[in-house]
Amino acid sequence: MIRTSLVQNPGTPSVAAVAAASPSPKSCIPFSRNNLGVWGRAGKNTGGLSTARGAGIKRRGVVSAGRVLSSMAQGQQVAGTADDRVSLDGRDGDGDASSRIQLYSFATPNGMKVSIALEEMEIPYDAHTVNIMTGEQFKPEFIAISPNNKIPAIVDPTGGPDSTPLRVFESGAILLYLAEKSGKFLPQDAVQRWETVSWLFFQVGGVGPMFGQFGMFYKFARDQCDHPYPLQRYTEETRRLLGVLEKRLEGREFLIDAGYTIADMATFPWVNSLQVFYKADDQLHLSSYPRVLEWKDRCMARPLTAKGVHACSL
Amino acid sequence: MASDESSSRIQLYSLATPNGQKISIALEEMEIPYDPHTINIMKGEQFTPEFIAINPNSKIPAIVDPKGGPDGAPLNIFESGAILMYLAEKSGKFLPQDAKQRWEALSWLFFQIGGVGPMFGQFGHFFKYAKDKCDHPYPTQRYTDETRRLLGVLEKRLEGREFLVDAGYTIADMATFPWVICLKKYYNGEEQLKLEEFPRVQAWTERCLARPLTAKGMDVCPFE
Repeated sequence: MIRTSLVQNPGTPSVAAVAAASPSPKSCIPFSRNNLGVWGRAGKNTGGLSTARGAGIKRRGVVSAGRVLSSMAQGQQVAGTADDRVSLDGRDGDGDASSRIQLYSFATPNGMKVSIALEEMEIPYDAHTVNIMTGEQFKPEFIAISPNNKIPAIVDPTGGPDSTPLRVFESGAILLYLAEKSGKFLPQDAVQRWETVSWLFFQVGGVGPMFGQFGMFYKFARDQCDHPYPLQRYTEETRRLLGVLEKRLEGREFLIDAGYTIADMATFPWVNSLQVFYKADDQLHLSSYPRVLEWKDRCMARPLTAKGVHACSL
Repeated sequence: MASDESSSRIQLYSLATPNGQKISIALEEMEIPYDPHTINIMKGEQFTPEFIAINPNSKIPAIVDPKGGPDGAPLNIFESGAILMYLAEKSGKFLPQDAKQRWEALSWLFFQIGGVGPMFGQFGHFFKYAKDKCDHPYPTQRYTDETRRLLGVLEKRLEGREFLVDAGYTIADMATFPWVICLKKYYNGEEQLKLEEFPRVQAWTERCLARPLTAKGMDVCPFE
């Protein structure tokens, strides 16, 4: 018999809703100081709660943020026992809970970058949803991990010296960290490597911030600001950046000749966002960037990438 | 100067904006030989085909390491954050070896690239440069609030610290303090932003600027 201790936070979907969502969704632990919620994912056979190893699902005690943080403060290893561990992603055997990356995230373009990377790099992780719509990013325990109170952020429980916990915030830093940890999606060759890093910084310094300002003035802040200038400014800059990508993708499948890299993982979710969240196809004449749209679809068609796109959604 | 040495000097394409200053500061502090080339973005020099070949995004700074690639081939790098990482790896300086310190430095570097630079820049645009084009109060208020919020994050981080990372002066500091100076010096935003409410940030800015090699780096590739 499966025992569950299931405490739902208001506004979070039921387990049935999660199970009915996209195939193999990454289940997420609602973020709270003492995580009591247990989420099962739509397993292959059950369609409901995960019964990895056939064990009953027990209360998750290992990786609440409070515990990670107090361990970090004391310089201790974040330890977990097998009994406390709940498998959420089917990679039961890959590292025990005490060494799994802890992801604090939400399904925005910036959050997606990191869950895409974790999936593609096949790094075991536990996902904690930080609901930025309800202000969870302002909780002190989250700010201790992410001083700018933004998602995503990660803690690698044994990533620091002497296997102490190590936190990384900022999606670009996290992508580099995971690429180095896994040895994947960041080329070894010097030219390819520095191209990847340059295009990664192009995304975090240009694409993200400017597409984000576009979204603010085009969609979210329309009522607060009806002056045409800001929208025109960010429409033009967004189009200019799309033009840079369009030119780069001439004769290329991905941004870097070596193949799919963290530069692609960082960038295509923002292009996707222009269409899916901002619905700005017409405003931006997105049809005039056919290579960009094809590349975006090419990235989204990768199964592990698609899985990562859906992690930590509501 | 021996021709061998000059042919391997870093070629810097830049201008003394905060983003350009980051790199000349790093080159000076790391004592890496380089040749500066001023790219006057006020005259559109960033749009020449020769420059676009180095930086497809038409922005300064950019560098070429003439022998940085495999088999001594040239290597181009664009984006100030990427360049800072490259120079730190090349020199072995100002990016700690210790894993925790290193990833702190890189987290704070990306914080500057993704937050401080873009948002301080939008503040400057609406508060100073675009006043005649947009008289709506919302954009200036938005970027004033966000700039102050980011300054608050820095203020808190600098509590009990001389620099952003415990290990000492790093590329994270080099990337960030020039933008703080810019708020006052170029945007005249001291009052608007109530900069006096961020005393640790001010002290840290002065501490960085007091370093002779850093001060030297601030003036490379000057505006005409």
